[in-house]
Amino acid sequence: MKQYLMLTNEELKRSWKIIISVILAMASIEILIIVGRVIYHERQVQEYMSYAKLSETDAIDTIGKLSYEQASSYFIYIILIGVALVLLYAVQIWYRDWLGESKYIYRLLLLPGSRAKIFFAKWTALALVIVSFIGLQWAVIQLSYVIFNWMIKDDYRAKSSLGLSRSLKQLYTMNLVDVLVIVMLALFIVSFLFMLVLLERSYRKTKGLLFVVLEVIAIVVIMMGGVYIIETLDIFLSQEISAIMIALFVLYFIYTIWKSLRLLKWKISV
Amino acid sequence: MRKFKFVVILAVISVLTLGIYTVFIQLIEESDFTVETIKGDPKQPEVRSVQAELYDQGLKKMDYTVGLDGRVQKKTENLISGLFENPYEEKRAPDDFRRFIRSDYVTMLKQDGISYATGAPDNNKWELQYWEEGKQRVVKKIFPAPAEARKLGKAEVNPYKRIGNLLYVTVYDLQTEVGTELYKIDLESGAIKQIKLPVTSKGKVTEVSLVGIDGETIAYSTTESIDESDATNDKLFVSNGKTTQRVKGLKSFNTNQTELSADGSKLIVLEREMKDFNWTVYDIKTKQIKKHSMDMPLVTDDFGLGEFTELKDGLIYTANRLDDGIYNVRVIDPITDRILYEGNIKDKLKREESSLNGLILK
Repeated sequence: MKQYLMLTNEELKRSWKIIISVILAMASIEILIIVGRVIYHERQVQEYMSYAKLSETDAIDTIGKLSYEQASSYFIYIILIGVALVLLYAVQIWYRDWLGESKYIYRLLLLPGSRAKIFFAKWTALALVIVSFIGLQWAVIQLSYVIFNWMIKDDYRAKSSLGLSRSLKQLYTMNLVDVLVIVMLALFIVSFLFMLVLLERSYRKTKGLLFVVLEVIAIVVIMMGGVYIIETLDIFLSQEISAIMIALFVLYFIYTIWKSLRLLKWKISV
Repeated sequence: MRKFKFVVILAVISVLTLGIYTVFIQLIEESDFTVETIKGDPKQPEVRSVQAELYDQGLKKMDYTVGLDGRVQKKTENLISGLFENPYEEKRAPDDFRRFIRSDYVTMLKQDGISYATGAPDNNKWELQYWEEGKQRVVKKIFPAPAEARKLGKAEVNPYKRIGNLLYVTVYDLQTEVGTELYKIDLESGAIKQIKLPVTSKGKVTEVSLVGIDGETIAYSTTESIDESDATNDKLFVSNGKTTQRVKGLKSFNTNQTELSADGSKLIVLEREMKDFNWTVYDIKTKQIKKHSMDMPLVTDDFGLGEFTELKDGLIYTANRLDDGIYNVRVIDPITDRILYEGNIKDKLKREESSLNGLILK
């Protein structure tokens, strides 16, 4: 357990600077977006007032008031960039051990005890990054909402309560079960990427890539075939279809981890 | 501890930020609905089972079902429970019945707590199953299709109404998309009899729609296509089994908003255009037309989204959103022009995010 925690710590330590930089950059951009939107909206009203020779109230009536929902509508693009970076990190966390000058992977593989702890250390590092990412993003939303309310004049603000854009509402549904589901989905994707990386690393170049392609084709065939069979049989109730889909998801999730552990144990050699 | 510094930092950040999120969720205000009765008794039979369906579109999505006696049911969904919810499936019914109703060829009717499902798997036989939740039983019947229905290309059998032991079904030809035939099924003997609708028309009748049945009295409408144009000509008829009369003198009518009165002696035609709330009562015997109107409370939503009106079993049920999260509900007897019930559903928190989906009329 201690070795597993130390390995997890080591994984995070090696990426710490980049993790902190990305988090700070994302938070800064999001806060700047809010500040920019408030200033831009105010300027729009002022310019329209002088152009159309209208009072401030009439200009606001024409241009419209600004809500936090509108001001934060670009947040989703920043979050998508964050998601893409996490996916990249899931691949990079393995390849950096092979591609670095020191060939860190040799040291890892020669560690005494089970190799599973190497896999789970990387997996846990990703899990911590994902959960922190979701939590910190919420903290940034709260902070930027305070800044929004502090900056904007009352007459310019559409409504006083916190509102989220439709896309942000998909991520923050105000339901903790949904957070758990989103984290599980993210970890499934991480496990799938881990399996593909380990497959590629387990064989010589072309053969490795071939196995990666076959694995991707297999999952697509399983999914499409499953849907086709269910639709052709036409005997299941919608709840039963949902239960089958969830069961298949859980089984495939377990399979990705099992396969990765097997590859790490039997196929990857120093 | 220092050895796991980075793990601890991220673990603390995760717990703290998700903790803030959890506290925030707990602190989100939820609507607190109460019902203020203005007129009538919410326990009278026509009103007892009426419920208003209200949705909270705010940060925390919540569905409310408010009974006019003040009972409130809250429901919130998550990504998993959403996969297992299907409002169109009879959740409490046995699996066999649920599988039957999800067949492509089956259509349903809910009446007095019984779910009727009918369908024609092929043109030679009809299937009927009905689920009585009160008695916890499913009745299954298979009938040979009547000779007239066998001539159709592909029959769609729709349950329309049950009166006593008779289940009225309409049959529509999916292949030709023309005409509707009416049949009555005797649920005891299993006999099926066609009821001829005397459709007399010069033009091409593309659709026949039932408006109401009461004993021998049948009200129906026909839609005729006008040559080489998209325009149609709609006509309303009342038949007593022997003679058929065309209902004249109505400005316009909508089949969904036209019904026979509870005793079958009058035809009620409802017209609602936002704040204009009118209805016409046509006396089948005397052929007299009487127009009625009622002032409706202000609907705040200009798109009509805060409004619900339905004509059912000879009564008008309407709900309208007023200011400050108040929903006015009325049950009107269109024949006597009397409001049987009026009440206001009020949200103590006056939240703007709630919206009216409709009234549930069982």
